[in-house]
Amino acid sequence: MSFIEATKEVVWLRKLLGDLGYQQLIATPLYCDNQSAITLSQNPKYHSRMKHVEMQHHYIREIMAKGKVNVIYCAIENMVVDIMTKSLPKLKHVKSQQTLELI
Amino acid sequence: MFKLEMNKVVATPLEVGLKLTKAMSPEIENKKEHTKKVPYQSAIGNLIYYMICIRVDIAYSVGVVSQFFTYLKKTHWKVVRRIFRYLKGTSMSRVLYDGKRSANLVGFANADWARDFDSRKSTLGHCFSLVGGVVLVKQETNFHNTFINRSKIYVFY
Repeated sequence: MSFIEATKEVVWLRKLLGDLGYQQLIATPLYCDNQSAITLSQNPKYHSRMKHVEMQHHYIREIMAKGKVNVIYCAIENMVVDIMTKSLPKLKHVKSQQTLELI
Repeated sequence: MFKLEMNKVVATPLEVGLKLTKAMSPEIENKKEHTKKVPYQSAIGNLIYYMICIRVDIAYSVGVVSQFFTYLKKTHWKVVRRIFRYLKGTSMSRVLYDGKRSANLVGFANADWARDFDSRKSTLGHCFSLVGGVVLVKQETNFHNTFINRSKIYVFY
């Protein structure tokens, strides 16, 4: 779900930036730390264990095939967007802020 | 307004491993009276204003504390005060959009399964940066109703 939500935002932002004159020429890198989610998004095979996932959530494959999103694995210790989902210790908090360029 | 002048500053908006629930430790009656007097909603309103403007690093913390409007205990108010102390200590930080940097979008997506201790709902977060500054952030602490007790991979995917 987090992936799909982010993909929808990518599609919208790319269109908006294109209209503003900042055409996105390369696929937008999207960093994620869950390897099974990445594998699932890259592999169009039928997974019997994923049958509870609704069809609409496979939209990410369509977008990846169009070359708009490039999903990249990011090791969990480098996963800076943890700042949005957890309470972090000081060092990690500062690192997240710097990498995400929040400050 | 929130009597925070004398407080020490802190480096992070939330304590590590903090568990906030609706039924925190039972409070005695006169302490309940105390929580009625605190400007909890007004404080969170202020925090949301900062969060939307520039301080997106407190998005998760604000998402957590804004779930307890009707189940307010002293513990929750302490957490809100801590966020203010954090903001006080980092009031000089700002977002810098540098026109010389590349205008390519970069995105980060993350999820946390069953983060909410009351409803077992999951947390989502993603953010995008452009020309060296954050442009879009989304943080949902209780992702919608169908999201309880589904598989972890579903939440991430």
